[in-house]
Amino acid sequence: MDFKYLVIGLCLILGGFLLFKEWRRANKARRALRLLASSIAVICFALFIFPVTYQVERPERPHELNFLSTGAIKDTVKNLKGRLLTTDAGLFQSLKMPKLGLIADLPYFLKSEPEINHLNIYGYGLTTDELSALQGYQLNFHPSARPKGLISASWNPRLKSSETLSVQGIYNQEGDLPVKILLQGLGESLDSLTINAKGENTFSLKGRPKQTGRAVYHLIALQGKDTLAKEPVPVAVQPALPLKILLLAAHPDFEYKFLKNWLFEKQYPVIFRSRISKDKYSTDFLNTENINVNRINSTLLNKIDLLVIDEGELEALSAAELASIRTAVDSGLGLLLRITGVKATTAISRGFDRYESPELKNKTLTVQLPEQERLFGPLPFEQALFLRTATTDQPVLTEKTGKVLVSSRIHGMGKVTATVVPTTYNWLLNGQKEDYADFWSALLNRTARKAAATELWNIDPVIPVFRQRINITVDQDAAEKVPLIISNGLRLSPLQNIALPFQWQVSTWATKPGWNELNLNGKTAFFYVYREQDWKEQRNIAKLKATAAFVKGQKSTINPLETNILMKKQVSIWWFFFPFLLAVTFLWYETKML
Amino acid sequence: MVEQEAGKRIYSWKRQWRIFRLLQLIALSLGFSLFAGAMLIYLFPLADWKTVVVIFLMVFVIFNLIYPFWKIDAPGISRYLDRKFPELEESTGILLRPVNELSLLERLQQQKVEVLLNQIQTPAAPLKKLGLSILFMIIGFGLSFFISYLKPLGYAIEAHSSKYRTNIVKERIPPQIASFSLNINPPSYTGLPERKQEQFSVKAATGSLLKWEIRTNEPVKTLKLIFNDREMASLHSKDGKGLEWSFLKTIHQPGFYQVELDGKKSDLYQLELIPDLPVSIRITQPKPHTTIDFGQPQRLSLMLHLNDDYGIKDASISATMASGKGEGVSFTEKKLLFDKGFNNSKSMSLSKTIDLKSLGMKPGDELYFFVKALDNHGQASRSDVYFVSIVDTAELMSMAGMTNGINLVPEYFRSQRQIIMDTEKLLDEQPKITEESFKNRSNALGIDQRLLRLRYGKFLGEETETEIGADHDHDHEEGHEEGHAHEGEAHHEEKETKQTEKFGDVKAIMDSYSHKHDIAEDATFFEPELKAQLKAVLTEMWSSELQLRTYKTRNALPFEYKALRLLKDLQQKSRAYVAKTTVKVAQLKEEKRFSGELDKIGQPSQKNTFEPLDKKTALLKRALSALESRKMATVFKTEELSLLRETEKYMVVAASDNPAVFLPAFKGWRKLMTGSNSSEKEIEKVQAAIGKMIGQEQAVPQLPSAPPASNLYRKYFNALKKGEGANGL
Repeated sequence: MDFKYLVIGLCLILGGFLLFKEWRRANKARRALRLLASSIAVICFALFIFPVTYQVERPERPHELNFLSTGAIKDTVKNLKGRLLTTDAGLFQSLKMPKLGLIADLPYFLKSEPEINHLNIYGYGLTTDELSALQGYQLNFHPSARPKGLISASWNPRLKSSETLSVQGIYNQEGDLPVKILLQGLGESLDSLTINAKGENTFSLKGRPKQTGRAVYHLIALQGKDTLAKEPVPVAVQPALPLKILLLAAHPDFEYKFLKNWLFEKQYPVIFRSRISKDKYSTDFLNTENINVNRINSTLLNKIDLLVIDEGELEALSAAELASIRTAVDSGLGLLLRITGVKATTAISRGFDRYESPELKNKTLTVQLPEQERLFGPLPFEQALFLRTATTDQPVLTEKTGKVLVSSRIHGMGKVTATVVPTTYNWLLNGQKEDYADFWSALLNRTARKAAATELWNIDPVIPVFRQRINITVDQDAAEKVPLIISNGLRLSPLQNIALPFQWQVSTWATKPGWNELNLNGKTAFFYVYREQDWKEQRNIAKLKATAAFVKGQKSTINPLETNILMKKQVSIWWFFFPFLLAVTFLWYETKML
Repeated sequence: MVEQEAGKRIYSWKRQWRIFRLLQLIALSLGFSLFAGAMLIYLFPLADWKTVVVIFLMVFVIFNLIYPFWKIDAPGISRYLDRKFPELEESTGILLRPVNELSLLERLQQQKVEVLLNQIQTPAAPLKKLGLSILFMIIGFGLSFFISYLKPLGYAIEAHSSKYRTNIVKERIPPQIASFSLNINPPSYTGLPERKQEQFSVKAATGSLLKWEIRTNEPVKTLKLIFNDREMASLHSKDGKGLEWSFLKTIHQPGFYQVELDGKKSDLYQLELIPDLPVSIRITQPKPHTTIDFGQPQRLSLMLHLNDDYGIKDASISATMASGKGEGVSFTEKKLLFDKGFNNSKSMSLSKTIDLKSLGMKPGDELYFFVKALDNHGQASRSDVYFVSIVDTAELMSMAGMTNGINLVPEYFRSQRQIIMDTEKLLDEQPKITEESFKNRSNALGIDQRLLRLRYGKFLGEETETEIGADHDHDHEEGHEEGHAHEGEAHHEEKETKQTEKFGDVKAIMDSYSHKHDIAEDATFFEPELKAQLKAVLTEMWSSELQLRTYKTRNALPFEYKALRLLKDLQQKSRAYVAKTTVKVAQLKEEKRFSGELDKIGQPSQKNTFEPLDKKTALLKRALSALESRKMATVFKTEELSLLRETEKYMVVAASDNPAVFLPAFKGWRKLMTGSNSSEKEIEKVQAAIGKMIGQEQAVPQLPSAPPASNLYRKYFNALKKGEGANGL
């Protein structure tokens, strides 16, 4: 204020002085003009310092806020009225809009401006955590187009040795050029696939990781030589747990011999008993201690995970033995039946209905896992016997045309599987070791007793990002005991689930990108924390979905009221500059020229 | 003045012709040398285009000595002109002589000749010669281009030499080494030239003699070569001062090696060996099993192709003949040679016609043969065994197979036999009988053959000729017109009478309007395989009938025999032969069954534990993840380091077995172990190599896992099992 008056005073003094000088000038010609020019110059000079302002009325939406999230496009937001804010510093820099303001945190900002009750969200939207703070606000969501590239993927990150890693997901293809998707790791390519069609394409890649321990594979999208995306696929592999197997044979044959040796070389505990005569047996104890197996009883069966028996031997067992097998299967034992005849001879095997078909006469047998394209090598015999599956049965392996060869069913807590394939050792003799391994792995894994883990953990979100909050859920079998959870050397205090007493939950923060250690009751496990640039599109899609769902679930919206507010406007100083210039020029020119 | 004028023309010709000659010689020698040089390069890949220059110079000098251009002189030209132009009256020589030396008469003649000389045309011969030689040069040029584009031989040699040239790799050579060279002397059997390279990585034929010559820039006390990380070789200094070193070694084992200078080890260098493969034999003719039927020439033409990487020394056919039958089979072995020299050629096509008769083979005998080949390194290889058999017609004629056991259609077989016998008899009697009766009998035989064919056709459910048209009235008429179908006619007449008899029989009427192809009941008698063979028999019979009816009786015989042979095969197929035995089986006593004493029967029990020989795979698998964690960190943890150290022995073995694949990874591994900074790419290279060493991962059966078995789940399960129902009722 003071300055203003000071300036006005000084200008008045200056003006007075100038006018006085003009008046006293010897040359009286054009005195009036000169006086006018001098006063205009001084007035304009004063207005330079204090421009003229005026007030106007304009409609505004004071309760509304436009919020730009990641993925907002300039074209859609540049003509927006009202306040524009974003929390994304990258977006703030790239859009370069003067109206756009950058804030640190949306809920915090909204708390500080309680009059705002309406939000227009642009871009991919907000995460579930952020959305939960927007309860009670009127939301409008203007989503951007779905992101391109690897928009979704999931895989089995915790594997047992020799298990198949299977990566499945969706690729949103944009251009016309085909895109190759590669699963790569440990310097090798495990699988690849080419996507030609535009739009969202599902993909499925498979491979067997070779390492024991942790490794980060990569899912790579290539277009020509350009790498469009390279996303990490962390996988931890643990050694496989061996099976304890009991083989009971009515008579020794090559099938048993090869199976026995194959398991023996895998260092699995195997007991093989083959009947010589009535109550006389020949027994092999491989990788295991000697025990009495002349009588099959529950003590013996509880020690093993899988019983392989042929129908002939099953028939020869006593009623007490059969009963103990039944009980053992009920409480979890796996039973694998080898069926050779079309007529069922025992009560246990009667459940599997068989039929004979002459269709494969003079043909070899080709086995296939259902719903998989891969065919096993042909087996050189004519298969005439097939299984008829009941509604409770699940086919495990079929013939090429879909006739069931191996089928499995639940029996109590255990499983019973029947196979009508008489011999498979032909694969081993032909050098097709892989087929043999796949066949028996499929059968045994399906049937064997399930080993209950002592604890099971899960983390949410599945793809945790650096500095994100993560929730760890632990199931444990020990009741009445708080699980000991240590993450990256920090002991966590879990919370028991109210409904499920065996479930415990705990929250922590992803403090370190890469592999993080999780110690659970003394056992070490690892989870992977992703960097912020990893799987970006997948997170964007998740945000898009979450925001859309959140907005949809809201109550009906009321249009925000428009109110008129007064605004100060300034007259441009150029308006004063030109008269000033003209006046001064005239004064100067007049002394020189006229 | 005048005589100068005249001489001038000759002198100017002299200059001109000399230039022409020179150009001509240059053109000729250029053409020749281009052609010769191209040939040399084509034949000996070591020659290069420098040789062309050498040849050119040599040829040019020789040509100049034969046709010296500088010897073209004025007298010579004048002699030439005298010969060429009789109007010059042998006097051009005078023009060259100074006027004052000439007599009056000579002067007169000189003046006359001078006028004449100015009138005659410039001789075209030198220009023509020049043109021809330029043409020669162009041809030489073209030929040389053509040869240099000629592939086959040039390619083979190129490929060979490039096979042995290690691709130029950048090597890290210890700084103490000023210069070095490596002489590779391949073994003599390869016929490859000795070569020299200034690179430590070697790719050479097995058994090559390598000679290293290393010169250091400062005296070195010891210089060693370490092969495959275990074999050490100390070098001897040539000059005693430790500046020049050399070493000789014959290599038989691939792998890698290092140079050690005063304890300082160099990088690893690859030592790749190319083994000599045995001769590959490809027989294009005959097929693995050949049967020679009656009437076919008893010859076998054999065609094969041999290939070797260095040279074939020898090849022969080893033939074994089996003659006789039953227990009296005797074998004779014979070695047949190819009538062609081998002289170490790399690839050759051979053919040989084996005359089976001259080998002493009779009908019924069999020949087994295979081809043996020897390469110039002394490695032998042999082909598969091929079989040739001559059909024994006498065996076919015998009734042995028909007299015992079941016999489906004996009389028909006999008929085919009868036809053969009749045909042979007819052929024997041919000179004695008239042409007319020969033809008649031949035709009659043809008819017999046809009948037989029709009877067999019935087995296949084929429509028989008698039935064709019989079912249709309009065809029936045509059937009548066919003169030669005698029996057909007879049948028709019979049928007609039958038809009148069966007036009112609905089935008969329907039959006459329906067109029957196959008789379904007949068709089910045989299996498809059998049917196919029967069809083949019928085809042979068709051909035989054709020959007989066109009076080419002799030509019919092979078909007849083949038909009989096929019939015999058919007959044998439908029978299982069980010879009579005189075994007497003791009567079973039912009451004694399952009552034996088992107390003496032991119960064998084996116990075994599998001890894996090495934990290689498990170790390598763990090493993979140790390397993976190294990607994140900059150093190894101590336990990871010790784990990786254990993998060294496997890496060394892999690298020495297959240096081309594993050596770069081994180098990367070494670099990693020294703790130097390695990029992610290099680590991945090592990982990829370890992955290769582990090989294909196979599925393993394993214990499936279940979530923790809490009491709650168990209670649910038990409740459901007891059938209590979900609502607890």
